[in-house]
Amino acid sequence: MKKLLLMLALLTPLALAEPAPSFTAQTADGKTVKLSDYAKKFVVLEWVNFECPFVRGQYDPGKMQALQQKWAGKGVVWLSVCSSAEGKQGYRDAAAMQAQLTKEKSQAAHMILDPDGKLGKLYGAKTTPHMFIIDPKGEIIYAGAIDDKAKLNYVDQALTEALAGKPVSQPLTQSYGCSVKYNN
Amino acid sequence: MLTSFLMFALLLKVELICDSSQAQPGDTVTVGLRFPYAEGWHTYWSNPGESGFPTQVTWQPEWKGELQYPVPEVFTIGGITCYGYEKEYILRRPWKVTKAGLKADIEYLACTADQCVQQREKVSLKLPLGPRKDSPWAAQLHAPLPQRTTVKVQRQGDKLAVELPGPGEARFFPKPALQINDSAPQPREGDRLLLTPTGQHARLQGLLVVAGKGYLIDAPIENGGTP
Repeated sequence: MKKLLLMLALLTPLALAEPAPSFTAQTADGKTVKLSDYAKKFVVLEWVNFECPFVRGQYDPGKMQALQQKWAGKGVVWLSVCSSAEGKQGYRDAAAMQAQLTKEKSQAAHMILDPDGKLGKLYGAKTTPHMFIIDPKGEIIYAGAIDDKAKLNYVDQALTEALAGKPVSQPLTQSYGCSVKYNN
Repeated sequence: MLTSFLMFALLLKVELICDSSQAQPGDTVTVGLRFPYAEGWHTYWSNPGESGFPTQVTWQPEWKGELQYPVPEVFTIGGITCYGYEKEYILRRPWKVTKAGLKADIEYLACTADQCVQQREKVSLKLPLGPRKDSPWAAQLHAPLPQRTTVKVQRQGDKLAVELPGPGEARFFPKPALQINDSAPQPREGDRLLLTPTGQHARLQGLLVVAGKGYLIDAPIENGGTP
């Protein structure tokens, strides 16, 4: 317990276990989504750029899609987000993105298009992939990398712990990958 | 995408170089992975910062030591702060010469402001046997690298104040990651550099660069700095 409190103290300055900023965003399939639509649910935010080698490293072997499918089956809302600015790597308009999602066999509930980078900057997304998990109380319980660059998937671990009512053992990790291609 | 990848592959070709043009088996020489300059492309330091990926090298024969990195640069692109190189640089290590030679399998990420590509290269080195002789790379491979030094680090309000060993422009590069906010400014106040920590750490570890010179530091963080 003491250890946990200490760990939480360490992490507070990075806005973990703090309310997730609310947002309204447009999806590739022409819908408007709000974070408040998913109150009382676990929400995953996944920053993506389909031309980034680290995103390819997740999608080509089907790892990300399998994770999306596994947790969608347990009621977790998975939102992919593309914050690539127009003209930068990974940018697609809505129609091209829809076609890409089909090709990728994405299992995400929605793909948010964020070419002005507003949502990315609101959450401090730095890399693709960059992962955030929001709990049913609306608090960020995980922020960081998809995995440890080897076998351990941090998102799978955090969701497994959180859905079992346990605290997340590694709530903050250093994300790695391509920089999010913001329009500076 | 494909064109830029090919262009990049032509521009950047890692070389395995050695400080000796010949040596005897059992001699310890210095070898280096030389990353050439490619305009607009940068590769990463051992802590890449807020994005990026550290270079991974698999050696044959197996070697688990830590490569020595020269002083990196700071890149801030789209508000994201990274540490790396947009210039020629060399990652060094010692090698005990064998007849069989040395092989390296290198994986690294290279990025421009707009895109990133992952590269994999295989390089090898076999030295002619004979009394050890300097090669044309000797001077570069023996150039000074960051040295360990002792500095005082104190908490000062919500900042960390690092006592600087000398005058000139200063920058701290954290290693491991997640010690400080990489994107926060690092103002110099007199003989101190002010950092924005990300939590209550007991020590500050990384590379302090002052007037272009690198100092490796691993200092306990003391309480009660004078404002």
